[in-house]
Amino acid sequence: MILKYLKIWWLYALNSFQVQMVVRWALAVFLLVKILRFAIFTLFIVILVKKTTVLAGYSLDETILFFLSFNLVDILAQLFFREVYRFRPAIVMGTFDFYLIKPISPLFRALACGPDFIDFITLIPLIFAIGYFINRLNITDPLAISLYFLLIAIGFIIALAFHIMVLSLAVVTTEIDHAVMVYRDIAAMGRMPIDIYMEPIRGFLTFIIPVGIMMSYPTKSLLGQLLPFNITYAIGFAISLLFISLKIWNLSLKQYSSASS
Amino acid sequence: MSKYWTIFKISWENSLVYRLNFILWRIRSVLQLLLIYFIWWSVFQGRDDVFGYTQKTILTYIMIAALMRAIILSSRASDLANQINDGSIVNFLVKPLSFIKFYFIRDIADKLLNIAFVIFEISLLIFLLKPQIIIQANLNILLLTILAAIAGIIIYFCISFIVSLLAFWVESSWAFIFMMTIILEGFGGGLFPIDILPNPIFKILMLTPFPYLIYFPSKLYLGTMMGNELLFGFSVLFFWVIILWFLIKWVLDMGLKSYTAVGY
Repeated sequence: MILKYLKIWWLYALNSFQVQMVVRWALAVFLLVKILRFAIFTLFIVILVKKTTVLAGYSLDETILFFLSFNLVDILAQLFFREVYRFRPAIVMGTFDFYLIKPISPLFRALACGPDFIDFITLIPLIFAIGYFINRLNITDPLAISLYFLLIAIGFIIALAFHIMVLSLAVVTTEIDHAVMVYRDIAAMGRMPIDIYMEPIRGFLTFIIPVGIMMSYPTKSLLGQLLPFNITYAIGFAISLLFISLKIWNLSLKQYSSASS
Repeated sequence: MSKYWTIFKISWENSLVYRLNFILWRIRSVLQLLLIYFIWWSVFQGRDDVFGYTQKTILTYIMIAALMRAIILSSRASDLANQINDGSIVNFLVKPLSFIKFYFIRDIADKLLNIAFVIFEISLLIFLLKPQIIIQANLNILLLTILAAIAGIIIYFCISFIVSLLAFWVESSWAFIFMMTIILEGFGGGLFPIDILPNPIFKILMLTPFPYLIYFPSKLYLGTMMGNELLFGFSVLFFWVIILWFLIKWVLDMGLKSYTAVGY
């Protein structure tokens, strides 16, 4: 079963790559602009934290590590779930009907069958940069590093749950364009350590909208600032959210009425 | 004139057809503002002065920048790229309408809708977060801010229209639209006032049109710009308005000459 889906994903990934390679200069421009966006925000952090020495109690290296960890979760989500951005036309024009009659999960088709090659390119230097800053911060404890990647995976699962809910919203309302961007903006609130926000917003962003869990917890665990309770809570929250999102998806499918002409 | 008024009304109604999408769009702008607000709020915890700004001036700047962003950086001109690519642009070419005016009127309708909502959103945030902000009472400064914002609207319209017109020559003009958005995010002044950048970079940026979209009108509102700085700013601003206005017409003419209709 898993092998079958991996093979299907691989075929779609190849197809997606070929589509992107049709207009190569556009691929290059998109890649350059993504790097520019990353560079501008990094420059902003460097200028800001060099002037103030610390931001919300974090040094420059630590603040950059928060930003890099945000990027890792964000890029992984965009790499695998890019197809969500193209889902609305499938609903509005009725081509979602074809997803439903094929012998694969329509959720898998709507979610994961259009990976973004540009994000894959940016992922590699990003992982090296994270390794570099972990080294600069003298973090060598294998347990801390393992927990970091576990919490990155937790962040990815929460992102998955959000994308499933966005798809469900599209099935029910046919409106999705801004819903997926609202997710992006909520996630972007984790570009900086969650500690910059005042209470009760900080608590809200940690326990209700789990931006803190997704984006700040991995780095906080590396810096030794998380209790075992926080990690257990993060795991429980991610699994519950995924379960709820799957329930919502199933409910939304029951509401679907084909819109094809 | 009545046909443009009709376009205005239809654009307004179109924006409200997908109400959920519209509400989500507004939520996005609040979320973007919250991130920037709290970055700067945390910077000033335990500090009075950073980069020559006090907490009061920077938070005022952030609020005014959000207002300018809603007014100036809202444009439907990017729809044009799709219409060129899918061939539906021919529907407009045969109608007795000025192509540029049509899009400009649609933009104005969008902006007015945004203004109404953004004022409500900013007022709500001010009520909830209770930041100290500057209420500018100097009429001259307010008039100059409005003048700069109007010029900014024209500049942004021209830039986004020209970028969309590139679809006459290339298939993927979205790459350029994305590039424009990111450059404006970084160097327009929405994330940070660009005078915190190293001075040589700041001086070079002030020669480009980008800082005149958010940074310049927002900084004007603070009332800290004087004499030569003000004169230089408005000179560059009007230079870009004139250049881009001629450029938009030239690029449109060139595009229409090279266009071969495709589609349905």
